Order: sequence, then structure tokens, then C-alpha cells
Amino acid sequence: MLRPLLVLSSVLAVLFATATSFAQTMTISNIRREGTTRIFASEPFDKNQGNSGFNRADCFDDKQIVKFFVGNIPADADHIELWVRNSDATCANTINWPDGTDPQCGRVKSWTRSVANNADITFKPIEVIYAIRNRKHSDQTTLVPTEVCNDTSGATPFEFWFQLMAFKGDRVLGWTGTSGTTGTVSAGEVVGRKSSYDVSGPLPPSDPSLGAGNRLLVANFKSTAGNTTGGDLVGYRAYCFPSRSGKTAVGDAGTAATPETGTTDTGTAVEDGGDAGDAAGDAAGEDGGDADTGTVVDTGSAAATDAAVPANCPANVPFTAGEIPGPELDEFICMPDTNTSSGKLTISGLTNDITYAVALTSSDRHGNPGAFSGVTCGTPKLTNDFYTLYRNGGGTAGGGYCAIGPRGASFGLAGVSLLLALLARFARRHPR
Amino acid sequence: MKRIALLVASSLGLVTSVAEAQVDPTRPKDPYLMVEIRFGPYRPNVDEGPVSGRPYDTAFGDATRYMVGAEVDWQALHIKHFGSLGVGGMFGYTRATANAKFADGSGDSAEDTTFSQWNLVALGVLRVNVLARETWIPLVPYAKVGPGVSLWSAGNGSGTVNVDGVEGKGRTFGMVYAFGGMFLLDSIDRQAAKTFAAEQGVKHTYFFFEYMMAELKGLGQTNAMHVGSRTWQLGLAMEL
Repeated sequence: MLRPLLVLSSVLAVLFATATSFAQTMTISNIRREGTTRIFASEPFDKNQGNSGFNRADCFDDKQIVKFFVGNIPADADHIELWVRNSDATCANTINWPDGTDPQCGRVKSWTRSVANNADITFKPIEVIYAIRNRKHSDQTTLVPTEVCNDTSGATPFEFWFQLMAFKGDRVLGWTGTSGTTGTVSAGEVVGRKSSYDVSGPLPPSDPSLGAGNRLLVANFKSTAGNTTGGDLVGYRAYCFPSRSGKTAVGDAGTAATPETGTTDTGTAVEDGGDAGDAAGDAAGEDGGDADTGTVVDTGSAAATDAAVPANCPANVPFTAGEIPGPELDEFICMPDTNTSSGKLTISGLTNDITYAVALTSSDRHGNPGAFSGVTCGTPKLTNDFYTLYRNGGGTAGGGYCAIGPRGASFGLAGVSLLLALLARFARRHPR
Repeated sequence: MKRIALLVASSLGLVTSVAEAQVDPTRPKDPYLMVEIRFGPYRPNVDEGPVSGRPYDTAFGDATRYMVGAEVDWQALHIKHFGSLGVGGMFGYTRATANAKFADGSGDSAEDTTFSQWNLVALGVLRVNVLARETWIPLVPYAKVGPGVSLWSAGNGSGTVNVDGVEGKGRTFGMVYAFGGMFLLDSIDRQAAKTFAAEQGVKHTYFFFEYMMAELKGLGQTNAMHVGSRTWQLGLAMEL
């Protein structure tokens, strides 16, 4: 009699424990970015995505927010906090707090349970970047983009973990395992997520030089060693002044610009620019993206390595060697990020007999442009390529592989067809 | 032109007819495929065509460019104590690149100018293998003839050239003639050759040298770009 009762009580205990655990499992879902023009405005955490993590432009972008839905905050919690940590150390351990003996963590933001439970919570990239770069609490200071977001060191991406923790007063109600990855949490109160940030573009290419051609310039350069050995370089980008559309000043309407059809942002914050594709599209007037006329908040303390502009360059060149191009210069991008190992970029679509100043940058996986290389200048001029010489010499052939000749041009094809027909006939009669 | 076509057709028709008469199902199978890889200098005779000013010379100078290619022949008919007759197809590719010159005469620009050619040829092939098969002389003289087409394209720094709305691409037809000699490499190491044949199915291996006359001048066309060349080629051939 006693034995069945023991078994029954054990089963009930297990069921109760399981039900309690499920009831307390805090979840996050529907992670997305908003207010950004990055190509994929969704999941910012998957480091395997090319558009993942947070870059310099995200850091400057005052309008961009990251948002996700939080569910099942434990009933006994009075608030939740989003923390970031740079190692396997858990932020639930106070020794890893900013004032602890081994600071590894910083708080991004906190919300009361009543605000956050079964609702969206939001935070800004700059809050994340400040907390992880400094291991300090972002919600205890005024964040100044030029102080938080500028970095010309050429550093590679930095991985970190988010921890969303439920608190009652100062007490953490639970924490994840040390791996910090997603999944069911034993105590059910904490969720971890991995991401990365990079606010520093690769080092600039060196020894730039320019050659000219018909409506094009050829930029030659050497890749900086740090960019190719273990870096996160994805390509090189060229800026031209005047722009391809004829702009001769930042914000100038240009003389032959393709009208952009997007909205015009007159805000005070710098937007986007972090993504290569967008930047290129904007520069070419192709994507109808935002025309940002906001306040310039870039270049910061980047040290100019060689600010001298050659004498043969046009006046008022807006590129300075060693400085990071801000989004306000996107309109001068004349070659989007191009992955090349040849040390050569061909910039086409230019106008002959106009002298252009060209500066190069390297770009990384997070979409950060690095600092400008030295400025070089060149003037596209009319050339005579082989076919032009041929046509100028009276040659008339051309027009495509399938161009129909004036008479009997199909003889060769007829001959080939005839041979194939004979082969087929022979093969049919004499199978081997 | 019609006469040439009829000639080719007749000669190939003859090949197939004779082949039908000669088949003997009891005799061991002869090698029936010849696969060749080849290369050699190639300079298209553009400047000898209907054009003035020697545009090819001006653009690319006189540096030697090479053509690489391959050929597969079907040795359809084996004639005892003589050789084989067959048909095949050959392709070759060559490309010339140089810096385009500034139109104002101020020298070379940084822009590339290119000229690429794909030569495609259908061939009738006669190989006289009696010497290599039945004597101690490891040589196989041969001759080839057939119609061909060259698909050519000209490029510059911006891609394919377009002059006054005419794209710098085209095709040129012509006849291709070739003759040469093949050296039977089996004769150097017969045991290795036997092993190669048993394990890989390659019955004979040759080194060959060939003189080719690619008369790609626009057979049946008017004002075609002349892209043929008289040149030599060498390579390796494997008989399967």
C-alpha cells in the first residue's frame, strides 16, 4: 500500500516541477531592427550572416533600434535587465559587473516587468557598443557618438553575448550556463544570445596611384598586410571628386545627377552608410534610398597620415587621408566594395577631360569603411582600343555573334551541321 | 562556295560508305577515338583583311600570343595496311591584351584593350599509321581539312567595345587545313604503354607537331574580319 503512494507522489512531484519550469521559462522572439536601411533589417545576432552584428554606422544611427518580444518574465521578478558580456563569464556573477573584481559585463538597459512582460523591448546599437567596449552601464551616462563609435585601429570583429536577466531588487533570479547560447534555461529566468560588433574599418590600402583611360580611371594600390592576414576585409571602395554625377561639394545637387526618389532626412543624426550595397546604390542614385543631409558627425579623432593633396587635383577635395568617410560622402562613391586581389580597381562611367581626385578605403564584413588612403588625381581621356582602330580603318565586321551577314554567311554553320548529320548517320549504323 | 560544300559532303559521304563496307565484327577493335590537347602561337591576320591602318599591329604590337585548344577525332574507318579516316571537332582559344593608346597620341593609357577568339572547326582527318603499326618507324603523318568559324570579341576597360552602336563581337567563317606528324611515344617504353593501355584504356600516346592554315577570311561573307593565321601547333594525343 505504501509503495504505490510513494510512486504516485514521485510522479506528481516530477510533473509539478516540470510545469513550474515551463511556466517560468522567459523567452525572446521576433528579433528585428527598425529604422535602418541595412539590407537585411532582421536578426542582428547571427554572426554567420554578412549583415550581422553592429557596425560603426549603426553606432552613429540615432534612429535605429533593435526590438524583440519578451515573454514569460517570472512572476516574482520586478524588472529585467539586458546585459552584454565579452567572455564565458556570466553577468549574473557580481564579480563580473563593472564595479566587480573582474569586470566583464555592462548593462545595456532595464525595464520594469509591467512594461516588458509579453511586450516588445527596444534598445539602440550605441547602447550595446558602449556597454561592451567599456564594460560599463550604458544607462548611467550620456552617450556621445563621436566618443563611442570612432575607432581607426583596424580591429577585427569582437564577439559578445547578450544576457537578459530577471531581477528581484538587486538579486538575479537565475542565469545561463557558461556557453551563453540560446536554448532552454534550467532555472528559466535568463536568455543568452551571441552577437558581434565592429566599429573599425580595415586599414587603408597603401601606395595608391592612378592611370587613365577612356571615361575611366584605374586605381592601383597595395593591400595593407593587416587586411589580408586574419582580418575581415571584404573589399575596396573608391571615392571620386567630383562625383560621377558632377557634384563638386558635399550636398551639392550636381549637374547631371540622377534624381533620387527616396525621402529626404533632415534630422541631426547620421544614418546608415554602414552597408556597402546601400552606400553604393545611394551613390549611383539607383535605389531611391534616403538622401541624408543631416549633421556630419564623423571622422572624429582619426589621425590623418598624409593629408597632402597633389597639386594636379581639383580644389576643395573633401577626402583626407587617414580619416574615415562619413555617410555624407556616400554620394562620392564611384566604386562600391569590390573584392579583388589584383590591387587594381577600374572606375568607369567618368567624364573625359575632367580631373578627378580619388581616394580609396577598405571595407569589412560588418560594412565599415576604413580610413581614406592618400588622394591621387587623374584625368580620363579618349583612347583608341583595337576595335575602334579597326572601325576607324574601314572595318565593318561586328554587331554580335549572331549578326547576319549580307550573303551566304551561314555556310560554316551548314558545314558543321552537315558533318554532325553524317556522324550521327554513321553512329546509328555502326554501334560499337 | 556550293562546290566546296559539295566536295566536303562527298568526301565525308565516301568515308561513311567505305566504313560500312569494311566492318568486320570478328577482328579486334581498333582505337576509335583520338583526343588531343594543343597549343601554339597564333596571330590573327586582321591587318591583311579589308581594313586600313593595321589596327591589330597598332593595338597589340608584334608580341607573340598563343592559342590553346583541344580536338577529338572519331576514327570511323580503319583501312588495313594504310591508316584511318575519321571526323572530328577542334576548338582553340586565344586572347591578346594591351594598353590602349590615348587618341591624342600621348602614349599608352591604363585601359586594357583586348581581342579574344574562339575557333571552332569540324574536321575530316586522314592518319597514315601504317609506318608506326607495321614498321619500326614510330611516325604517323596526317592531314586534316574542314570548315571552321571563329567567334571573336573585342573589349576595353568598360567591357565589350561598342563603336557607333556596333558591338565589337562577330564571327568569321573559313576553311582550316592542317598537316603534321605524330611521334608514337609508346616506342620509348613499350611496357609502360601496355600498362597504360590495360589500366587506363589509352591504347597509344603521341606527341605531335602540326602546321595549320586557318583560312578564316569570311567564307561566304563580305567584309568579314580576317582572323585566320598560318601557324604551327604542338601537343599530346591519346588514342582510345
